[in-house]
Amino acid sequence: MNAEQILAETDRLLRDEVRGTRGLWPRACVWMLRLALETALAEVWARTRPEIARVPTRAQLLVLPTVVGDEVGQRVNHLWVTLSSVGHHHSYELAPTAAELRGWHNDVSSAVAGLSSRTPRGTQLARATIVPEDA
Amino acid sequence: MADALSEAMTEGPAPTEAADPAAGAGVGATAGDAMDAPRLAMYELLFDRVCAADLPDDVADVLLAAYEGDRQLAEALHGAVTTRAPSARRPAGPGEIAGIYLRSVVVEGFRGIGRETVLPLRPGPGLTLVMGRNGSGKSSFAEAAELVMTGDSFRWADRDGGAVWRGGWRNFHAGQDTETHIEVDLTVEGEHRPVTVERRWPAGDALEDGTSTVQRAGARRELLADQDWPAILATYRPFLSYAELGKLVHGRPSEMYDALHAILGLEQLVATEARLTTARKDLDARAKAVKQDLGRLREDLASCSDERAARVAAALGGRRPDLDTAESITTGTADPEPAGTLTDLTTITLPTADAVDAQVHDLREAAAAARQLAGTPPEEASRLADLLRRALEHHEAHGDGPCPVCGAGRLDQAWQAATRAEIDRQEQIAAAAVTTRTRLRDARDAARALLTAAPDALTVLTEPEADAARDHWRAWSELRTTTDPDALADGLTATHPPLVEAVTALVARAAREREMLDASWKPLAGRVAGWIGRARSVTADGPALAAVKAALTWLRATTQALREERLAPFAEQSADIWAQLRQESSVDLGPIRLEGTATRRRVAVDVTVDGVEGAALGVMSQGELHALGLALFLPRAMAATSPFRFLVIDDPVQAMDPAKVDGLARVLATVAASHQVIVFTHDDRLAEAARRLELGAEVLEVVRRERSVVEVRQVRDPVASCLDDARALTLTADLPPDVLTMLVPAFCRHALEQVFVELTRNRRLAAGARHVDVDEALWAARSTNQKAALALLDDVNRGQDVLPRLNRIGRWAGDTFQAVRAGAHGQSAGDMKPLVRDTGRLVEQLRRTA
Repeated sequence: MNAEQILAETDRLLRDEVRGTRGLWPRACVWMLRLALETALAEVWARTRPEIARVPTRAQLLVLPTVVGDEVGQRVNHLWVTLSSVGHHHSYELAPTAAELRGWHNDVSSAVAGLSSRTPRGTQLARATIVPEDA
Repeated sequence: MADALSEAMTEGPAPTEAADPAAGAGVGATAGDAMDAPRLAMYELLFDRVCAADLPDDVADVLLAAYEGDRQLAEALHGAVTTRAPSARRPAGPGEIAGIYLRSVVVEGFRGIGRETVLPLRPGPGLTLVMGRNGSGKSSFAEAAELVMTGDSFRWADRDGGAVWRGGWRNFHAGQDTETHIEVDLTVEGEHRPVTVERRWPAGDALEDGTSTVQRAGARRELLADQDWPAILATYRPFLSYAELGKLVHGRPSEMYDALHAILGLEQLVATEARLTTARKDLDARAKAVKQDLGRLREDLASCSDERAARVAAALGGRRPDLDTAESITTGTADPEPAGTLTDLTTITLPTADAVDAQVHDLREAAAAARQLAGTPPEEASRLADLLRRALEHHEAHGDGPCPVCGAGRLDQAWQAATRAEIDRQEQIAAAAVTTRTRLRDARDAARALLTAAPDALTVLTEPEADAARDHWRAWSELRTTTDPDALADGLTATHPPLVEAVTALVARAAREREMLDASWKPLAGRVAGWIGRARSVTADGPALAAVKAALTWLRATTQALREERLAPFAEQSADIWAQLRQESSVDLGPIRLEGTATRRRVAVDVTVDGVEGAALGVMSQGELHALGLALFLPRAMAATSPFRFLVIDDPVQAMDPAKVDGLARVLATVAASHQVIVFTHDDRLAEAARRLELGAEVLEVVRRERSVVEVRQVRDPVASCLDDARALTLTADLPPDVLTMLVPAFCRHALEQVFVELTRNRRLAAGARHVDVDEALWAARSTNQKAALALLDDVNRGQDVLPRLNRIGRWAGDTFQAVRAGAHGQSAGDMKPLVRDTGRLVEQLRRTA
């Protein structure tokens, strides 16, 4: 599934009452949104520098602004951290609300669009030193 | 001694007299005709204490009548007493009250809830946590239940926020044509079928338009307002919200006082006191008014020129006003007014012009007649007639002969006849002269009779008009000395008209003056008469006022004693709750007291911080204040006299630190031993604490989809529910397989993360770690691997040792952990069911070996 497809499925979970998702859809949406973001990220590397896709996501995000520019790069970074934090349930947070999810859905959609428009096939990546994280 | 709480609370706006809800509560105007059980019980208590106190009869009568009602008090104050000994009927004891529990709350089209949604509850003691994010619709259930049961809601009633809240009470997504519907199903002990309290608002209705109805199985639908539930709910308020607790702790001292006082069941005595106070105020006000009126009356009497005013002022002037004298003056039964005043003149009479004219006419005629007689004096004619009669006698004796007088004439028959005629003529002349003279004398006398002296009233007056009148009158009366009838007649004619004119003018002035005096005196006299009536009634009310004052003094002391007696168990409970809630707080709570009366009533709490007395509430944190509110008001909702065995608490955890959340969970569990406790919270900490402390709480989660579709589901624990979710996903046919391969591992990983968090928290807290520190450690463990390291090896940095540690459990454990981690990043495929099963097995294993 590509990022757009994942976003479409997320929208369906958010909009309709999909059987079997009663009560669990808010968290499912968070993870799918994060996956959509990660998938779009993987697509960026596939078009530009496939080897970077193998490093941890955090490292990929550090490199990202040099490829897509600061604005989109930082937006993706922030979104990913937010969705990770909500999905990991670190704090005492309860499941997010539909309004929050809709907001993130919009943000991820525009970020995905931003990523794809800034990295057409054949884009050259500037040289960068990437330190892989201990996995 | 510190009553910092009361100090802190006295800073609020001054409460109004009307803020005393107990004053009018529960006591019908027709009291005495029929008393319900609690009223009767209190009457018995009062009767016993009155008898024991050996009060004077009139004081006891006034007290008991005041308890019965306004009418009875009024009668007692007027001496008509029908004091009743309490009847033998005993009220129901607390043990006989049938408990009421919540079964479910059904909401449709209200606040955050669109289509009909059911919040299922377990009727009976126990703790239920309803969790959901702000905006998830969970509070809508709490508000709906409160609204339908009490006909009100704290938010609705709130002055500041109420209008905003009322504006958005209908759910936007339910559509304008949809009916709003709230239904609360209750279990009432002793009734086999549920009781339903319901309220519906057809499309277009305003929030206030609906009415709640009660439906018992096999019975007719009744209005909730006709039941005694609303009043009982108002007293014990089993609906507690964060906002309301905050408002009570920070609000007016009188409101907090009223809230606590209501549970003591003393409102009948408060109402009695209010009646007596009103009666005393009335009596006092009347006495005071009479006193003030007297002052004004004296001023007005002094400025009134009427002499009666001066006499009344004298009568009312002393320290003890002479009411009888003042009254006799004002009613005109006193001595008549003394002479010499202008007003006397109204009695003056003068002959009319006609009468004077008649006299003048008589006088002038008599005078004219007298003048005609001039030259024929009647005496001479009389003497001549006498002489001739003797000559006739001589002739009769001697017969005809010569005249003995002249000798020349001859006395004969002819002479005799002529002489007889002459005698008649002379006698007629003489008689006419006598008549004329008599007539003249009579006429003069009659004229003089008109000429009276000036009346006394006239002689002492000083007005200019009086001088003229006196001059004319003098001229008039001096005419008496005039003897000449014509002069007299002239005098009368000349003097009378000016005299009449002068006197008439004077009398007219007197009449005007009298009128003026009456105009200022009459109303004053009326006021004096009215005041005398009131003054007499005030004097008569003296003993009643004394009785009312004595009754009030006794009743206040008695009420205060009862208040302390009855508050004691609640205060004890509050202290217990605070002891559990305070946890790491340095604030000690002393005894709670209800102090003051009327507008000065307040709740006094001694607060000690770090052993230092006299600290103000300002040193307490928001969370501590809130905990204090709970400590003060949980006992109210738990009062044995309330049939409502449920408590709905909205958002109690706000601003509480984790240690207090543990305390709160324990308090709630304690309450839940005897009560059905339903807590709405947006915060997972309470559920976590309840799970960790094994308090046996049922947890419900509320989530709200777009378009206000609200879902309620039971949450066993976060780990189990994640696994349930993962399992549910593997069974659904409505999602594409590649979506499932993303989501199922994510839920499995979440289950593992939750169990790691749980293991870490349980171990560290059991070892005495502080909540904040545990939270911080968990926060630092960001990845699944780090959480596992923290849980399994108690060190977040030993991530590399996690897999070997898991492999010691079994190869499958390590494989599952790896598969879950990889799958959560979209890197898995195939059948998801074994992954869910293995994750469940791993969770069980981890919990068992922890």
